[in-house]
Amino acid sequence: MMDDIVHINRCLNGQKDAFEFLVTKYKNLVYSIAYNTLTNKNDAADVTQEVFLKAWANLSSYNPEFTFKTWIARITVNYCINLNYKSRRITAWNDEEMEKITTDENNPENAALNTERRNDIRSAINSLPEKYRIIVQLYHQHSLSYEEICNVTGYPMSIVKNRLYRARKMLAKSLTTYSQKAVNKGEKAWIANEPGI
Amino acid sequence: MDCKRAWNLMMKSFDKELSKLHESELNTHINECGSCKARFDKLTEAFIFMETSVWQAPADIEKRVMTKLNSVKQKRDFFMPYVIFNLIVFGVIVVSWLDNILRIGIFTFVKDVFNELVAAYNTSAAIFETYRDFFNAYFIKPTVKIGIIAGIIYGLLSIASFLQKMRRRYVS
Repeated sequence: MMDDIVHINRCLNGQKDAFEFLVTKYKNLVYSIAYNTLTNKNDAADVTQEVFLKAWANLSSYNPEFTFKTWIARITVNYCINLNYKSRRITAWNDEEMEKITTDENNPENAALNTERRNDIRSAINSLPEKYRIIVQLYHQHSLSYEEICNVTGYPMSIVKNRLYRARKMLAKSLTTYSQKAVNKGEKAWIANEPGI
Repeated sequence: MDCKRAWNLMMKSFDKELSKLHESELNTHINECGSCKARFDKLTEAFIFMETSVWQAPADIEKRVMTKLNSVKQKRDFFMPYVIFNLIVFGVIVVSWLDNILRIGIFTFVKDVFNELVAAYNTSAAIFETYRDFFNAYFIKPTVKIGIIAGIIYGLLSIASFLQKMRRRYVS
């Protein structure tokens, strides 16, 4: 926190090299938020660059009362929402992106199982309306506190808590539905392969 | 314990606010209730997945940002009001100084209004008239002179500070 303030003050005095410290520290946070919202690697990289340039241009309006992490997250969330709104695009994870998410496993059976589970989780998160998805991702993926989410989104605490509660409920419902479908699919496959049935 | 209470305890658990007592209460319910166990396990798995899937930004992002940084100017919120205020103060002082020297009479109207107001306010206009020359000679004129000198120093300092800020902004 103090490191950030020191580097921000140096940036405000015109020392551009001090900004590199902030970029290195928060690039993964910005990129992750952008990637989760836009679901495209190239777009996320472009947004990361634009967000940092925007932060640099508006650094004098940064309020040290809040953490730089919250401030940069707020810029990113607003930027991504505006981008989605302007282009009227519907974000969805394509198969290629899904493949990249999965990690290598030694056991192909486990890998297939994990891929399926991960895909279910990703689909469940993706099926949430944007206003719920952002809050659940900020809390569970980027480990922001309730207060920090209030500062990022500009919503009051009651709305943030309520949305996270509902988002979890929707996630639980989606995940158990996917799970049920998988069980049914498995049973059907087993019945089809079982001789004499 | 019913499923609704179990759900609320699950929420507390995900917020890491669950006490030991409530934790054991929740565990007991989960072991007995299949649907709550499924919900809890699925959500736990989902949140662990989310926590571990923070994407790594491209390695060249610093380079990309730092290269573009030169073409982006920093906005200075405090800058404009500060300069405008100083320029107004400086401008008024310089104009009044020139008016005094060149006798153009820019402030004659203002002076007249002021005098009228003072005269109207002062019930003893005659006494004021009597001592007017005295005040002009020993109080008003020296005060105005000191004010003008102070104003010019203030204006020059403002310009110096403005130039210094511009130098920091563009020659770094």
